[in-house]
Amino acid sequence: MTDAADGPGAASAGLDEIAQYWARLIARISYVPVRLDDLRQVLRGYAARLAGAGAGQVVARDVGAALVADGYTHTDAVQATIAALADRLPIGPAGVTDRAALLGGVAAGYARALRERTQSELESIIRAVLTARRSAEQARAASEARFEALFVSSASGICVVDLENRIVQANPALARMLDRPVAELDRRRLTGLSQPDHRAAVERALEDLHIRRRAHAELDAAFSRPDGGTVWLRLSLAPVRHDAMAHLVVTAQDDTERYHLQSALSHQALHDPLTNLPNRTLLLRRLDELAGGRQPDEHIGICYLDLDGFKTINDSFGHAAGDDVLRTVAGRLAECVAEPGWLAGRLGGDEFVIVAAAGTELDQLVRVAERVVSAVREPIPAAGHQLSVSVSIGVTDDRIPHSQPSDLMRAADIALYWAKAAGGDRYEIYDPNRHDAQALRSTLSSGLRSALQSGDFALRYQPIVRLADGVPIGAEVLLRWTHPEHGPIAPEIFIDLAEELGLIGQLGRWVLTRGCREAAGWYRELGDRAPFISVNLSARQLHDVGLADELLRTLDEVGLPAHQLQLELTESALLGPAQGPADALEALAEHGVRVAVDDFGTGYSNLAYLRRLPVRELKIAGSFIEGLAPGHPSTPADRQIVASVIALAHGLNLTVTAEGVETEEQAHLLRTMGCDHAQGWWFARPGDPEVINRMAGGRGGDQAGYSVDPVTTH
Amino acid sequence: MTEPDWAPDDIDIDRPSASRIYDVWLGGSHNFEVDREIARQTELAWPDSIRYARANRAFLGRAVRFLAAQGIRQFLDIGSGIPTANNVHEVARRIDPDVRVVYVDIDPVAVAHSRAILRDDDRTAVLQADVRRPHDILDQVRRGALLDLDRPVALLLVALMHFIQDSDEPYESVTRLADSLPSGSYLVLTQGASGASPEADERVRELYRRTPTPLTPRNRAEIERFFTGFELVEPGLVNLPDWRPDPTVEVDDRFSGALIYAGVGRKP
Repeated sequence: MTDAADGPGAASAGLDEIAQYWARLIARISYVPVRLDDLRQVLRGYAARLAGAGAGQVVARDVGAALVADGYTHTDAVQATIAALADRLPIGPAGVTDRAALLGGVAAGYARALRERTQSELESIIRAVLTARRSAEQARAASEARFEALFVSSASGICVVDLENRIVQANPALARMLDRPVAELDRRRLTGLSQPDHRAAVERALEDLHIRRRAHAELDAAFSRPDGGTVWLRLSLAPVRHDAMAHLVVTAQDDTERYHLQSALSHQALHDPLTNLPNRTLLLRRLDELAGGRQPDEHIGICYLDLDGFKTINDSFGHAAGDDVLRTVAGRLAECVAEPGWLAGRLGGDEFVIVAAAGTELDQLVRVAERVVSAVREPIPAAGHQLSVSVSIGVTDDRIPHSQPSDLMRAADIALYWAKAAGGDRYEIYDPNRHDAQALRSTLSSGLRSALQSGDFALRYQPIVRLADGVPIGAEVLLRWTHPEHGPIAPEIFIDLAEELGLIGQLGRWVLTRGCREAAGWYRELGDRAPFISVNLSARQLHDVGLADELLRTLDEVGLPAHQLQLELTESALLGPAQGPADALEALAEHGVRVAVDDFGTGYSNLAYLRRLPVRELKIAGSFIEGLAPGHPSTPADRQIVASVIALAHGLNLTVTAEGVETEEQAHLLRTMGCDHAQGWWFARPGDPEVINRMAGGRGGDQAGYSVDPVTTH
Repeated sequence: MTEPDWAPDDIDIDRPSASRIYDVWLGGSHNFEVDREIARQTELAWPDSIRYARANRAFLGRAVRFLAAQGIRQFLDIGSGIPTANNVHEVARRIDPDVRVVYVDIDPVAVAHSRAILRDDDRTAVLQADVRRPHDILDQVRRGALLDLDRPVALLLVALMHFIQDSDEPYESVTRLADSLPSGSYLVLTQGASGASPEADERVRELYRRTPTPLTPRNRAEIERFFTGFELVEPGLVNLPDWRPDPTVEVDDRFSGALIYAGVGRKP
């Protein structure tokens, strides 16, 4: 193609002018910055081609397309081109093509190129959209695959719930936790899967997130497994917002083990390890709850329990046996207290408490107390023996408004004290009108110490007579305490107090010495006709290491032959496995001291000790003798028991004393049954030592002459 | 090519995009009716929109030529948009064919298109990333190993920062990017301050709220703050067409009424 710039000078100058004008027009509408000189050069080339010898439609269209290719895509560019060329473009030498036709070709070429460019750009951007979309989808698929793997393989339970708290999707970990197939969780309400007690809390937490009150929530809740088990889940809730849907994602950690550990720990903190009963803390907490939540006319009922003579069991059989007894009593207590809302626990030592449910009536409380008293009476296997245990119970149902749990406990403790004072093995109901036994107890505690010095203690003597002829052959010494203000105090009370205060040893020695001295007087006066003195010896005294030596020394000091002393021991005191007491009794018996078993038949059925120990006499408890009265409901059984004991004793060359003989019929019956000795009101009430003197001196069994020593109890 | 790490945004061509609107004003056809509609509406509010687009493009060319003349051979162009004529690598390679350019855009369509065009060019790379996550950009740049961040780099933030709201911590982003560049690097930044009138400004802002990238105009002091740690080269921070105009170049970029600041700073 011939370059127009090589043409004649005039034509060349014309092309320069055209290019100059054309460039100025085009540059104004150019999208891209352009150097005018560069643009002018380019356009001069196009003008030269159009004016050249080869000019025609093909060249014209090429020029139009070239403008588009150069980036002059503004629609005004074709207008500027025609404006620049219409009057100025020289017609080429061939002259075959007129100017208008050429410019039409330029316009057509421009339009076609612009259309192609537009289509191509549009195609490229659409391709870009598709590529971007594919990339995004791949990324999303990768992301979903990652999420799916996370969801499926996560050790955490995960589920998505909708606005109605229905599970839209759950992962296998959650299904495992709930012990259900994943499919079974689909469309189930999360709240419905939780245990009824926890539904409200779960519902509230979900609701808080649904209404956007909170952006995140955590809570612990128990869920039921199909096998009836419970799984504790720690739930973490967060919203998932996608379009208009408001879902929540719930992640769950299985917290069951930690929860069990925690509840085991709190169980340990609130239960007594020995008996597994609720402990003091739990009992007091329960009382506080009841006191805090009760209605104005509601009252709280409690029973305060204490085993009778528990110290003896510990002393005689060791603490392992004591623990066995406590465990058994605890078990029976739990069986007796099956009412819903009631709580039986161990306060400590041998003290137990029963807390009744709110609104319990007094008669219900009393029925439970009765049940417990008789349940505890059943023999308890411990340390190879069948131990006989009893319990005292203080019952109170406090109707005093605004009274505190501590007031209630004090009231029950006072009632318990009354039960103890009345001999134990019973319950007493607190009565605010009875004078304040607790205050009395503390008064007595302080008075007991000085009573030994001030002579407030006194001994009474109850004759033991030979049934065959009514001759007094012995006298049981009984300790009495008359308080300067409160008068006579029951032995059950002051013996317990003396034990508590550590004065029991001293008191016991005092009784022995004083009793022996009195008996020595009888012996001096009556010689071999003098009655022996029978002294009760506690288990604790029996375990004193120096007992035998001290006793023999005392006998020597006061001048009483050893055969004039009888020691009365309960079966429980005799039963201990320790060798010390047995040796002491053996030593004393060798010197002639008599050993009697007190309250025979009320303690333990193990009779092996009778073979092992130097026992001379059995004393049948008054409770059996009571049954010998005609018309008494237990007559046949008691009669059989008494007969058996007598037969047993005689078979072992032991003598038998019946205690608590109160009527002539009883005395007569015992005599016919072959019972050796007896004591009781029918023969003589406990009295001054002079009474024994007079009786033994030959005045016979007329009880009218004896001073009466009524025992009142507090 | 690096995909976004987590669930990507939807590719939604029913929503106008700033880079495609810009393409409309530059005479391109890489756009859809939603984009052209915003372009037309914007032109109604501010008839010089198209001149602004040309001015911005012309400034980019002048700045790249200036930087190449200063010896810069590495460019990091964030917010590069839809490629049209006179892209950074084209301009710079007229001075040195070995120039390396990394283009970054948040718009997946712009990125896909750029990649299609630059498919065979091993001295350019296109990243999809967000200037609000500068660490991600730097990570991708380092992994791509096209740019050597121990040697000076020109960081181009042209017509980008007015799409970043204050709550997205734009200054922190720029600082983090700048901190990772060595001494001798440059920052090139343009950003709109005000349009023809407060009413027109509000109208344009309203239109751009339809895009994923609403507008946040900033005043001169606020824009100057982006150059903290840089020394502005002559003539400092000025209206776009006034930055080192080239008298030999013909371009109709004299928009009226508006202030669009442009500046180039050098990291000492």
